[in-house]
Amino acid sequence: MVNLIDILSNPSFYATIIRVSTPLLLASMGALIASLAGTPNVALEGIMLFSAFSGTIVSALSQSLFMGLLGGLASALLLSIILCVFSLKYKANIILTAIAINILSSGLTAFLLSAVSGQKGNTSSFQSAVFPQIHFVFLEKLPFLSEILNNQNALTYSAYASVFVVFLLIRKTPFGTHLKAVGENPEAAVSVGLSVNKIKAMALIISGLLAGLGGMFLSMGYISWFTRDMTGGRGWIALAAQALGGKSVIGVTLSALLFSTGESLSYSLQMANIPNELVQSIPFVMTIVVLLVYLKVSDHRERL
Amino acid sequence: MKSLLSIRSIRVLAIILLALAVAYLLTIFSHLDVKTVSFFEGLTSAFDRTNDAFFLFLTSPFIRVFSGQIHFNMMSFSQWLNQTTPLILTGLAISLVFSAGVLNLGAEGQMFAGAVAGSFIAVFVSLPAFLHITLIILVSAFTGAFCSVLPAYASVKKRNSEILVSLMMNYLAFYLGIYFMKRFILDETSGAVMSVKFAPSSSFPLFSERYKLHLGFIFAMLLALIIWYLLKKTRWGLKIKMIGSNSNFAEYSGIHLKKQLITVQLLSGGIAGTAGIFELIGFHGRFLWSSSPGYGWDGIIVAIMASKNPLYVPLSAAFLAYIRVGAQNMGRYTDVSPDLVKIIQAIIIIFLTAEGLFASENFQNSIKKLRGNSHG
Amino acid sequence: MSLPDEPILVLNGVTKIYPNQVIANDDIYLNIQGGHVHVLVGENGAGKTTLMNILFGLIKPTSGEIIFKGRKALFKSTFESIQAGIGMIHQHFKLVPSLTVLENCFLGIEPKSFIFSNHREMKNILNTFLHKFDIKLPLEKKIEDCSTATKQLIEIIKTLIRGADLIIMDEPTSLLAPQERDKLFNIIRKLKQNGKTIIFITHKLDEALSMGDEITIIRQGKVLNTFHNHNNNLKEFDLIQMLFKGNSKNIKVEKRDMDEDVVLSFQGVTLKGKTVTSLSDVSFNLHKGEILGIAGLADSGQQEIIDIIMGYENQYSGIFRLNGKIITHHTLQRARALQVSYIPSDKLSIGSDGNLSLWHNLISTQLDSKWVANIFRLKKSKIRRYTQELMQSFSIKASSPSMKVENLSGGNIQKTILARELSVKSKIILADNPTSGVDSESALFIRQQLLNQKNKGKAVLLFSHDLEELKLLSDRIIVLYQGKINGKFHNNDALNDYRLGESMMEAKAGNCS
Repeated sequence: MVNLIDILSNPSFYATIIRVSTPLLLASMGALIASLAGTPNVALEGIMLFSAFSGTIVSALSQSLFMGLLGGLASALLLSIILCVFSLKYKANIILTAIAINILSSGLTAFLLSAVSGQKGNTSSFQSAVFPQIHFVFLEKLPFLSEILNNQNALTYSAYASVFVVFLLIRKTPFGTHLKAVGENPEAAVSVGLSVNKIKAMALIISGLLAGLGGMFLSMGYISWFTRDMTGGRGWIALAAQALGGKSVIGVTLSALLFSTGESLSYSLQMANIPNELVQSIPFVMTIVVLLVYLKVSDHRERL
Repeated sequence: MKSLLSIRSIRVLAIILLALAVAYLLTIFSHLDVKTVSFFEGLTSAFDRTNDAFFLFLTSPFIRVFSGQIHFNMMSFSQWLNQTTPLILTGLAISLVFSAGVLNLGAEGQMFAGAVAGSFIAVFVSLPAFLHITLIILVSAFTGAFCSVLPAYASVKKRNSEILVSLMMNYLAFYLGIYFMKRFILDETSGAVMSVKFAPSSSFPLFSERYKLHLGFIFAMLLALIIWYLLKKTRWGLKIKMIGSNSNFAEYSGIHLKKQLITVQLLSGGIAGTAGIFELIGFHGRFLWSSSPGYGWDGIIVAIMASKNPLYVPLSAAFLAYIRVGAQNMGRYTDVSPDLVKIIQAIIIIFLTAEGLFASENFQNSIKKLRGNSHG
Repeated sequence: MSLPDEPILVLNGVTKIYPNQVIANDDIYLNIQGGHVHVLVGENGAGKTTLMNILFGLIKPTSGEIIFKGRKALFKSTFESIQAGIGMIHQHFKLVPSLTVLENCFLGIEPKSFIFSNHREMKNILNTFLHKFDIKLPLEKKIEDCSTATKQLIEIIKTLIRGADLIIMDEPTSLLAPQERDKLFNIIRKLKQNGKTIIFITHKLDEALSMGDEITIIRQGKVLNTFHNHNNNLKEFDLIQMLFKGNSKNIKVEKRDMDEDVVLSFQGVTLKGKTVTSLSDVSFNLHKGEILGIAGLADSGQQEIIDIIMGYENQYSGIFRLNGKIITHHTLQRARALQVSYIPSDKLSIGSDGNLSLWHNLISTQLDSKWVANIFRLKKSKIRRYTQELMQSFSIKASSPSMKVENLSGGNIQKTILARELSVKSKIILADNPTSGVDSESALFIRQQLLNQKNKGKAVLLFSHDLEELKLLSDRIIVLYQGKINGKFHNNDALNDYRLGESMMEAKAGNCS
């Protein structure tokens, strides 16, 4: 317990939360958009992984951060398009197709990893560019908060900016309205002449791109190389965050932060004697509990 | 009926060939050494290296070439059969739930948890061999079934909600399993993440001592036969088929939807729970998975390739195990990464589940013409 | 501006024949006058909705011509028809629950400023329309929080914003309270004043007479007549006559007298839904050896009674008895265990499974029976024999017992369902529109089968929209109207169509023996 207070009063704990929430937040926003359109994107994990790989390799080969960014986004786009084509046009089961993409990504990245870099574990021999950390002068003066909010990675700030952007997109643009229509009542969308498939495809692509950005943070944020399966389940946790947060941007963001807190806690607790595995299982336990409670409650409500 | 069967088989075959072709091309691409030599020479050398690798990939479970002579590769062959066992079992588990229209994808976690639980029994209990092994298998099965409880509950409350719950359970089962393993049966002396040796009475009988080909294969084939029989020859099988085909009609006909949904998932979990234990008590003699072996995910592919038919499951499992072993050998002796297998698997799933690819009006019409217009 | 005498919409010989040979629309000729309210009246299954769906671009007609505003108009999609100036308000609203009224109105046509939706512009445009037609709408409210009446207004505004000149309303008052209904009629009058044309589909004659300038009667896919309602000179009498004119060929069938034993009874059953009360104090008895016909138009409560008997619905007040025992916490399994057979109106998704074989469909309710299987295996040869027997006795035309049901014709599918439901030991048979969408030969067969069952002493509850069928088969007829029992008749020579029709369409209670 004494440990806990030490941990919670240390600003670096919160800085870590902000830092580790970057990939999760981006992927969660992607999960949200896909879910609103009625096409859950279960391939987030695989897309993140693939972008993490492509981004770092392309940037290493071209020695340019910008090219790396493009490379990462392009690969996210590629996988998203595959998902769209097979699930929307050829009527494949979207869950199974997404799982296939995850497997594809895991295999492809590991295969290319050893083919391109000659190593089997990571691409550390390839020096890729990293996204810079950004220093805000106006934050210097703030006590406590400056250590948390300042000097975070550019992608981190982008992640939080994306929350804002997604919020605007969903609430204030016609596209956001169309998204909800397609997800809630496709007949309504059809009756006013909207193309349901086109909108679903857009939603999947946007969610893939966001996930791609999140993936690139892993290999181009603080470290500059790719490791096998380095996404470690973050794509699934993003889906869990969306399941928890429902349809609201704020809800999903808070859920993602919750899971990030768990992750940050696990780093701090590793000093303490709480086993790593138990801490790592927390997000999954949380999701299951919340899902089951939600099911019980809505069932009860329907009976009334 | 027969013509439909062969069309389906042709389709599966075509997709497999496509996947292998893509893998081949990918390997060639990865071998292209454009920096040093001319393009043509680079291409030839890439072809050579790829062909060597693929030869090993596609033939090593059967043969191996040693000093110019072709020998039967007993080592790899045993590995092939050993690896087929877990895939048959997870393939059966997934085929079961898919037949009922349930998307419980928790085979990986069920298998892992079952393996951990079985390992505990293998370490802490001492019984005559036959009883010991039976107990291990039973405990593994029950643990696997236990992992299915929450997804089953979810599916009863709302159809399709079992997807996320079962996927989450996979992670939970893995983390908890590793935790319990580390906490209670960890081998402190070795540096790696593995358990202490199992009690000798838990050792699963082997076909061959030298190659450690264990009898799990028999168990899996038996189970395949049993499940096939249950699904095709009993009234329970008819009920499951109805639920998977049209649950409204099933309910209307008086079938206990909730009861059957739970039953099928518990049974599936039980089967998946036994998938991993044979390898541990037969081949390794201790628990030594630091990461999840992936049999559960492969089970999904096996089930899809087998069209959920338990009789075809051993066939698809054998195929998947074959390429797994082949790829492992390829990875050991060449520079081509065995992860190529995952790419092949992914392509197979993507194309197999794309019903629309083969369900177009034209395709259906040509099938109808082939079968003849027998009913006006 | 088109000449006042030129109709805005002309239908020339529009016909729709479905693949199963059912004729939904039979050579329909219709002229709709611009700026008028044209009412379409007819029973369920008469073909009104099919016709409107063709007009709106949802269905393709088999033959015929449609001319709208002087131009040929066979629309291939709803988008095209909307563009041309047709708006449709369906019975089931096409609205997005979590979006606001404003957002729903402008769905797909949102005015933009940069990339954002221009809410101010939307409000301005909408307010103009609202002002013009004197309608009030809560712009920022979410649809899921709006009443049915409000939702309907929104649908109307949606069509107006998109420039509709012809507005089709499909049974718009079925879910409205009387005051809301009056408001709707006022709005319709305002629309007329603004030059809009309304096609109004209803089965309520009083509404037809008060709102309609022209009233067209559709029956069994054909247009019977179009009345002109000048100065409200029409009487309900004229309409009812036309709608329910009986066929002279009343086939006399041998019918046994019904027994005294009551096998099923409803006492004061009331079912309240979210917006409307679906059943209101419904009481009746079903006797052994009786065919009790339940007549009523759409949404009159037939489906709810079926749901209660079969265990789909449990949230009702009142007493439901089977074989004398009060039933609570009912389920489908229980209903079947209590020997209730059910022939549903939805043949394809509930009454049968096309993916499964004929024999599987035939024994689907008997899977737990001893004769079907023992502990070890299915008794395949017994099942096969059973199937062949049923194929013979019910004239099911199929190439083999293993044939998939989806390959059977509609009539044969219905006979399969019939065979399954009538061959088990059952005391009560629930038949929901058993011959709808079925060819006449099969229909004849099915009716004969139901009579056989009654003569064997079983109790049959026959729900039908086909009055002919009810008169042919029933011993007694109960009429439902808006969830209430509006008439109980004995089916003898004293029963006349007029009185039956009257009780199906208005609030006059008619009890007679």
